Amino acid sequence: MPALPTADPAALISRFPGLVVRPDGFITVPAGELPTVARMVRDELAFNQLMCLSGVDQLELPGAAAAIGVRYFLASTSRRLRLTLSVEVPRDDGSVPTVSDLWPAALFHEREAYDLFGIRFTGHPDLRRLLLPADWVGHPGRRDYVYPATYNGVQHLRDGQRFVAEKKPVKPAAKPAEPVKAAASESAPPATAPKAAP
Amino acid sequence: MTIEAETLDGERMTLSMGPHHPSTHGVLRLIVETDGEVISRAVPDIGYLHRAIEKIGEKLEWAQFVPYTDRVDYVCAMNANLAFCVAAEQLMGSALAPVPRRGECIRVLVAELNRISSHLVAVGVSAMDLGAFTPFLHGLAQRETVNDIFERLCGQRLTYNYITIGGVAFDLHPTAVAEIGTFLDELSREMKRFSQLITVNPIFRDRCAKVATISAAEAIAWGLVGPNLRGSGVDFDLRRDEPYGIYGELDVQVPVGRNYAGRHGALGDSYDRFVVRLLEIQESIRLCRKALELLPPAAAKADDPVGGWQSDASKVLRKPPAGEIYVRTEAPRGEMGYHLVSDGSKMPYRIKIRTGSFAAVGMLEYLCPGLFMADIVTVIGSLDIVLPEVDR
Repeated sequence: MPALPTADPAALISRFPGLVVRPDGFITVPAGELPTVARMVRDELAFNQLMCLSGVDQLELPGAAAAIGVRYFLASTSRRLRLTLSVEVPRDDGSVPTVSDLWPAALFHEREAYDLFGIRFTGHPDLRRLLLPADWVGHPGRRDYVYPATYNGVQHLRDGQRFVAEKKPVKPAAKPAEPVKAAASESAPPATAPKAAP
Repeated sequence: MTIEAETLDGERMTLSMGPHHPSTHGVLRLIVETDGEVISRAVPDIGYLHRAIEKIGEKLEWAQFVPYTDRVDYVCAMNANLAFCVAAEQLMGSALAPVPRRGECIRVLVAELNRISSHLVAVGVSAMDLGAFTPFLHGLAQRETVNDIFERLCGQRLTYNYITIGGVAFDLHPTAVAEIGTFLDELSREMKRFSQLITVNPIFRDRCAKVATISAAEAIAWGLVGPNLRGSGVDFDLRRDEPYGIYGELDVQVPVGRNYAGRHGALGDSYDRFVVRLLEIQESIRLCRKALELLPPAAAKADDPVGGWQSDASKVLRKPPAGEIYVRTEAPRGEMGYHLVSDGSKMPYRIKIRTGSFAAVGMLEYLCPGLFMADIVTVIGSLDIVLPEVDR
């Protein structure tokens, strides 16, 4: 399945030594350099199409900094090439310069990323929540988001119900599994007792 | 038909159009500021249909997410299925056996049939909003046949959950090829009448021509995709330019806008977008016929590399390698792109869905000023905005 080829990043790297090319071809850009890099990418390299702008909370992503990632998926309709820029911002109070002045398509995408991930896009003309109500608290796209029990006085759950925190599967270090299992299946009531305790 | 808002005197009035309005095709709210009959500002307010599908996906296994993609765009659920499955297959890479040849042909068949029914709804409903009731009924009559075929194929009429990671869920039912062939013949006859009801209708033409004209550069910059992009004269179709599945072999012809309203219109106006959709139906009929020609005879086993309909199911449930990918496919409303992030576990780390209508809604605020109040209906209809895929 041939997707459009990814552009050769050499032209970018020679101009902006601060950029890092990831093994999968994504180019990591420092947030401060984004406006100049993006302008060059659009005007000189002819990437006129912002296909998608997406936020990723890298908190639990192995091999990545625990930051909020913003990905800019770009394409060139004339050169038939693709390019992906990646910016990482701190989880607390992170901000990225807007690219909506270059690609107006980013206006809505950046509002969504702000809404769901709490990324502030400096210079965005109308940075409001997009999908959620204006008075919503928190940014649900984040991995550590805790669901609120109520919204405007309306309870989300019936009495006694609660959102169960995500349980990480505990990796068994050694496997004494079989004898334990056998014991548990023989005497069912003691096996269920510890579950009810907490 | 634009009038300089500044030349008119009078008080400005703020109207809330929607979220429940028959012509907004879902729950879209537009806060419209008007100066008499002329719009001075229109701010879209979305999110009424937000179901957090992307977030739900983070708690599901890869294959379990497919039914949710139906709900991303229920007007073209097959294409929504296909978009996710193609993206997930590319992420899994060599871990997954390739989709069998027959499975690929079935995918093209159902995707193009669904594109036909989606375009029939898009054009028919918009024509009804603009006062022409008859085309809507003709369109829905044809769509009904597509729904019948899909119902026999997978048991569902709207949300199919048919295309799976690795192929399709079931083989074609025994009478499917004959049914689809008969339908395509009938549809190509019917399309002549349907097209005439719309394109030769002077009222419809006058309400669409020169309304919300979008230049090619604007369309690209604002991220418009699919028929909206091609309506502005941009010759770009992912089925031809970034082919997936067997689309590369099908020689997809791409209709583009070229001021079909003649002296009444302009390149990239609402009328061009409607005509492009009608021409795309013709093209989809051709692609369906071609897929039927290429369809290999059925094999007894699902994972037969030629005649099967799904690659080995045990491999389908495998965990994809850690990685990040953006894959886009051509849905009826244009590029449906999936940004998938995998941390190597059995569940997606992040799913982001980029849809055609999202870009179109984003452009409304830019398009509407200067238009008449009644033109909003034309603009929303011609951009084919479907709200579930905007809010997700």
